[in-house]
Amino acid sequence: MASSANEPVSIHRSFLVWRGGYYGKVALALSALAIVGYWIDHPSGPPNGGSWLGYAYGTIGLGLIGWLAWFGIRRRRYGGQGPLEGWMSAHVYLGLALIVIATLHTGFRFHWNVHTLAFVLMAIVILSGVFGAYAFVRYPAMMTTNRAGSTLKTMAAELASLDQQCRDLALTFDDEVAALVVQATEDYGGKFTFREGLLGRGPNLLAGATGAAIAKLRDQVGGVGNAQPAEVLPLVQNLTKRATVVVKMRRDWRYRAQLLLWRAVHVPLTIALVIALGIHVFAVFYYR
Amino acid sequence: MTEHYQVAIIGSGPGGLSAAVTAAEQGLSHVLLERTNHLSDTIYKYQKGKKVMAHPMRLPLQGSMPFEEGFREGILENWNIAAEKSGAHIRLNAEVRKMSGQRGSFQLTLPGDEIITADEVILAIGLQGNLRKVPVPGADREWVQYQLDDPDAYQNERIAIIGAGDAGIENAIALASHNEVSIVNRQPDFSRAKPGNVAAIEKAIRSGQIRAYPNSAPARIDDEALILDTAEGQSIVPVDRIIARLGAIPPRKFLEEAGIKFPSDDPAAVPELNETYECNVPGLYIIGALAGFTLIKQAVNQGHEIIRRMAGDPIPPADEDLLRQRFDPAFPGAAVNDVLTYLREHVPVLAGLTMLQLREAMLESSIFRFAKGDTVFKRGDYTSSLWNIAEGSAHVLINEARPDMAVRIGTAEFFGELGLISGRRRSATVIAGEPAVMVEIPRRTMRRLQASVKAIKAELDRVAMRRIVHTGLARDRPISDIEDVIAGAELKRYKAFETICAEGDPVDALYFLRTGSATVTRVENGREVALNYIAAGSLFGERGLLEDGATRAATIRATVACEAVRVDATVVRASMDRMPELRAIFENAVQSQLDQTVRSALARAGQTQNKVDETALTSFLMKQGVGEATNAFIIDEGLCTRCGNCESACASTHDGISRVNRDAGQRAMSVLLPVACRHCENPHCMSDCPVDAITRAPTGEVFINQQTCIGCSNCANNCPYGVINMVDPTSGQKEPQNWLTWLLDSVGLPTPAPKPHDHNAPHAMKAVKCDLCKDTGGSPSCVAACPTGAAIRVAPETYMSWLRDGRGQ
Repeated sequence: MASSANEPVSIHRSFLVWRGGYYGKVALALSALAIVGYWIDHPSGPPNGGSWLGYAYGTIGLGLIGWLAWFGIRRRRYGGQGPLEGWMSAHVYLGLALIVIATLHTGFRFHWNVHTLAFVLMAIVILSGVFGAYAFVRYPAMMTTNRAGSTLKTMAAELASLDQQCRDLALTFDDEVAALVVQATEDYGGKFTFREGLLGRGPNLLAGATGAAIAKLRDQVGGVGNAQPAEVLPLVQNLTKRATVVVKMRRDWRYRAQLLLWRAVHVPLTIALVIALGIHVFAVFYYR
Repeated sequence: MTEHYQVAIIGSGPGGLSAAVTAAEQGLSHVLLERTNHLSDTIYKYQKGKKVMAHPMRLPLQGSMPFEEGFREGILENWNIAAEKSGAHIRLNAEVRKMSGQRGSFQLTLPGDEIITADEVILAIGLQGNLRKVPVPGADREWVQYQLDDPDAYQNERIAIIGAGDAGIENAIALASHNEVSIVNRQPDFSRAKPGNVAAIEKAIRSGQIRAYPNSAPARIDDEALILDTAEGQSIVPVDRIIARLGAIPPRKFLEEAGIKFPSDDPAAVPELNETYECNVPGLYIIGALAGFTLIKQAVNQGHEIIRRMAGDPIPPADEDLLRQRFDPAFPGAAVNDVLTYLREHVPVLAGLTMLQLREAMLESSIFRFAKGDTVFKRGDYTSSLWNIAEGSAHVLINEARPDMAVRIGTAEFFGELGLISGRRRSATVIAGEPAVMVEIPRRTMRRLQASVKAIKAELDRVAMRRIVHTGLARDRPISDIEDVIAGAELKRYKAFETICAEGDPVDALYFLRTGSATVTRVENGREVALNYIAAGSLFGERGLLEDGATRAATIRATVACEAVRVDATVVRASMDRMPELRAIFENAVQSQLDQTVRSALARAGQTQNKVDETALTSFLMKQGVGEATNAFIIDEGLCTRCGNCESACASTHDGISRVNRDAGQRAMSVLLPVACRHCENPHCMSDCPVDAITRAPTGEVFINQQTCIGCSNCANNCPYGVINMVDPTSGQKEPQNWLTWLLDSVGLPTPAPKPHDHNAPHAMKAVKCDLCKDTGGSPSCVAACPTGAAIRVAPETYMSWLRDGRGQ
C-alpha cells in the first residue's frame, strides 16, 4: 500500500486532463493548421514575418502572448471567476502551440537584432514553463511520498528532539566522541537557501561529521573505549535516524524550491518579452 | 394589625422589580417581598463581570425599568437606582413562608409569623432560589455547595462535581487546572450537555486531568469522603469539597400548598397559565423563569404588563406589533388574537400550546396564502421547516413528470417533517393543491416545541415513520396498502460507528435511515472493503429478505449518530405473501443493486490507475466525520503544489481572513482534509446560537450573519471540527497590491510583512467560517482558485460513488 498510497486519487483530476484535455486538442489543431498553412503558402520572397501569412501568424502570436501573460493577473483575481484550473490547462497547451506559431512567423530567419531577441526571450519563457508544468505534475506526488503524512514543521520538531537526544547520549562518552557527535548534530547538509534547493544534490551526511561520529563510535565497542554494544547502539541509531530526517527535509526543500524557482525565470522574462515585443512591433511598422 | 395591599409582588428579580416600579408609578398600593438582603439575587450571584445579553433583540422593552445588554455590575446598579427613584415599596429579608387565599383575600406569612394580605399576588421568584439538592445523608455539610462564583478561589483541593450537565462540566473544567477534580455522572456518557462541553470534558478525562465516575450516584457524604453507588458496587472518593450542579426546579411543595396545579409530575414542569399570566388560582400571576420564560427582557415586560392591567390602564403585550406584522400578509388587518384563535383551531400541532407558548412560536413562524399550483418548496431545497396546512391541501410531486401521481396532503395535516428530522435536502417538490393557508414553523421553534410538548414529538415521529416507510417501499400505491408494515415499524437509535447489522447475521429486518449516514462494508480476502454509502432517507438491508434463512452479505455501520426505522423481516414477508406487488418491489431493488455491484466491479477492473485503498480512505473520511457533511473540502496532495492559492482566494473573498486551514488538516494517503466547514446535515454550530445568527440557505450553505453575531463563541465551541474562528473582523490583512509585492510573490520570493494589526485597539469578536462563497455568485473561490485540480468541494455520497465507480467525464 505504501508505494501506491500517494498516487493521486483518481477522482481529483489534473489540469492536464481538464475537460478531457480539451485545450490540448485545441492547441494541437492550431499548430497543425499553422504548419499546413506554412507548407502550402508560397510568398513572393522567402518565408518571413512580412508576408500576409507572416502577419497573420504574428498577430495570432501577439494575441497569444498577451493572453498568456494575463494569466499572472488572472491567477490572483478571486471570487466569481470560474475555475482557474481551466485557465491553467489552456495556459499550458496554448503556450506550447505558441512555439510553433511564433517559429513559423519568423520564417526561420534569425539575426542579431531585437526581433530575434524577442523570439529568444519567448523561447526561454516557454521552456521554463515546460519545466514548470513538469514540476507541477511530478513533484506534488513525490513531495507527498517524501513527507509521508508529516509536515516540514513536524519534521523540524522531530529533528530538534533527535539532536537533543544525541547530545544527551554523547555525554557518557569521552570528549573527542562527544565533540564529533555535537558536530554531527549541527550538520544539516548545507544551507536551506533557494540556490541550494535548486542546484544542491541530495546531501551525503555519512561523508561528513555524522559518518565520522559513527565510525568513532564503532571503534569504542570492545577495544579502545571498552564500551558495550548496548551503550553505543542507541546513539548510532539516533544519529542515523536524524540523518534520514535531514535527507527528507532537504528533499522536501528541493521540491519546494523547484516548484517555485522556475517562476523566477518565467515571470521576469515574460515582462522582458512583452517589452521586447513592443519594440519589435514598433520597429516593424516604423521602419517598413 | 396586618398590612393590606392591592398587590403583593414576591421576588425582586427583573420581573418582580419591573412590576414594583410600575406599581409605584401607577400609584397602586403594593409591596415587593425579597427573601435575601439585596435585590435580584439570581443576577447578583452571577460570576463577577459576567456579560448579560438582552435577547430577543427585536422585542421592545416596556415600562421604565432600564435594561440593555451590559455587565452584571452595571445592570444591578441601574436597577437599584430605578427602584429608588420610583419609590417602590420594597421589603428585604422577607421570605414568604406560606401563601393562601385567592383574589381579594391572599394571606402571606413572613418571618416572625408576620402576616400581610393582598388582593392580588404576582409570583416572580424564578428558579434559582430552589436549587436541586443532593438527596443523601451528610449533604448538609458546609463544604457541599451548589454554585461556583470564582474558580480561582480554590487551589490544590480534592473537588467532586456532582451532575454532568453543562454547569457541572464547565465548573469541572474551570477547576481542573489547580485542583484534583472528579465528576460524578448518573448517565454512562455526557450526552445531555452541549457538544462543545462534551468534547472538552471527554478530552480532559482522556488526558487524566479529570476523573469520571459514570453510571454513579451519591449514596452518602462522610468526613472528607463521597460514597458513590456505581455499577460495580460502592466506591469511596476522597474529597475536600463537593460542588453539586443538579439544576433548579420550581419549589413544588410551596406552590402546591398555595393551590397551584401543575400539568405533570415532572419536577421541571411549569404551572399552566392563561394569556394574562394568571394561574389556576384566581388573582395569582406567575411570571419569569418560574413560568418558563428564561429571558430577562420577557420578565421585565410581563411585570409591567400585569400591573398596567391591574391599574386599569392595559397595554398590548410587547410582541403584539411583531405578531401583527407576521400575520398581516395572510390576514391583512385582522386582530392578533383572532388569528391566534384561528391557528389553534386549524393547526393541530399548535392546538396543545398555551396562548403564551403560541405567541412565542408564532413570532418565529410565518403564515402563507397560496393559490392553486403555487410552489411551496422545491425538490433539492435545503430548508428544514415544518409546513402545516390550515386550509386547503398540498400535493407532493413524487415524480415531477407525472403530476397525476402526486400524493395529496389535506387540511390539518403537516408535511416537510423529513427535512426537519434529517437535515437533508427536500426529497420532493410540494405545490398547493387548491387555494391554501399554510403555516411554516422553523426548525429551531419545532425543536423547542417538541421538547416542551411531548405529544408534538410523538405525533411527528409517528407520521414521519409512516411516510418514510411509504415512500421507501410503495410510493406509487396508497398508504393503506402497507398499513401492516407500518404497524410493525419501530424507531432505533445508533451511536457513531455502531454496527447496525453485521455480515453473517441472519436477515431479520428492513431499515429506513432517518437521520445520519452509514457505510456498507464487506470482508474480501481478509480485508474490509467499502461497498456503499447510505445517506439519510434511504432504505437498506432489503437484500436476502426474499429468501428464508439468508444471512447478511455485508456489515452496515453508522458513521455518525443515526436514527433508523426498523421493520421486522417477518412483518415484511407476511405482507409480501399477501401483496405480490411488494415482492416485485424487492426483486427490482435487489436486481438494481446487483446491476450496480456488477457495474462497480467492472469500473474497478477498468481502472488500473486507481491504486487507492478505497476502504482505508473511506474509513479515514468517516472517522473524520465526513459522514455528516453535505459539502466537504478535500485536497489531493498528489496534485497539490502547495501554492496556497486556495487560502489566499478564501482570504481575499472574506475581508482578508482565510476560513480554510490546510496546516491543521488531517491526512491519509494522498488525501488532505483541511480544517474547513463541511456544512453538516444537522449543524452542531446552529444548536446553541442565542441570536440565531447561523442559518442554512435554501441552497445548502450554512452561514453566520456577521451583523447579528454577538461573538459569544458558542458555535465555535460546539463545532466538533474546529472550523469556526473567533476573529476581529477588522484585523484581516488585505493583500498589499503594488507592483513590487506582486512581482516578488509571482516569482516565489517572500513579500515584506504587512503592517501588523493593532491588537490593543478596541474590537468586537465575531464568529467566521466558510459560507461556500454564496455571495460571490460563483463556485467557492478556494476550488475556483486551484490551478491544478487538487482541491474539490463535494458531497460525501458523491465522493464515495466516484471512489467506487470512478468519476465520469
